[in-house]
Amino acid sequence: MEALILREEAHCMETRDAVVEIISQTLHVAPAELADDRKLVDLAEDSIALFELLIRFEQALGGHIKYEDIAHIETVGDVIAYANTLPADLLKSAFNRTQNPPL
Amino acid sequence: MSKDPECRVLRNDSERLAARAIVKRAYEAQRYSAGSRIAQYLQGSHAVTFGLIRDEILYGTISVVVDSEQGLPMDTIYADELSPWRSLGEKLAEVVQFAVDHDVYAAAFGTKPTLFGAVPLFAAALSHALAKNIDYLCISINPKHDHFYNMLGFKQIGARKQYESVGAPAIAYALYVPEWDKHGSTKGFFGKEILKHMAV
Repeated sequence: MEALILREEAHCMETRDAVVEIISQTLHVAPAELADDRKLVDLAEDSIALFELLIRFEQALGGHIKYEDIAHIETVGDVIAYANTLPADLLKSAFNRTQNPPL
Repeated sequence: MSKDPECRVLRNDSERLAARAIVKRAYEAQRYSAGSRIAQYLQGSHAVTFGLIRDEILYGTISVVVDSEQGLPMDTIYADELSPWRSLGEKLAEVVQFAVDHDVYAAAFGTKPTLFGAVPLFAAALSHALAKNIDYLCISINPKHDHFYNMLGFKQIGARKQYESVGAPAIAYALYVPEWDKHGSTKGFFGKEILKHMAV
């Protein structure tokens, strides 16, 4: 039981790191500034930056996310919570892909 | 009860002036000069300005200028790049003055627009280009946004230059309008959202 909890916690930490990395790269904000309660609209310099973030997540996750699921996401924590509902290996491989985002 | 946001053509000088104020604030927030060089292109019959409006509060805008004898705003620094296309008879238009004022929206409605709040403006510009049988929808972008426009299927048509009047760098991009929906990224939720708003 304890091992299972520890594995779950490790997965959540990995997910958080991956999400923060994508947001940090796209919005050019240091990871240390991406607290869970920070609103994406406040972090983004403009609407284009927000669009780019959404499309990067979509590309990274290979179409596994739906508009309805993310349309009302507001904060960094919301993105992390949503990502935690996805299979662990999906976000991990997504994170690797964003190192060289496809054009 | 508050209405849903609507995106429509701005009808009079008062509305267009409010749109220009939004653009000016957006430019100044990024320490650029909004300038006035584009205003002359927006006053003629070849231009249309769209607004994003909720409960009569204008909080977003985009304009499309169709090529004419007056030329396009981006001719200022990209005339040589556009010239071959004009020689071939391609019909050009330029997207300009895109801005969304999150603070105006927040002050009126107590919350900022949703992440996709500005999509209807893109849909309106694209619908207008299709309706006018435009071949290439051009745009002069800030280089920091190049990844986004690449993802939407825009192709770079001009090297990085400096807009002296704005005090900002620029790169020229263009979208081949008749095949705008053939690009892979438009199959995703962003493209679907644009299609949804184009259908309205």
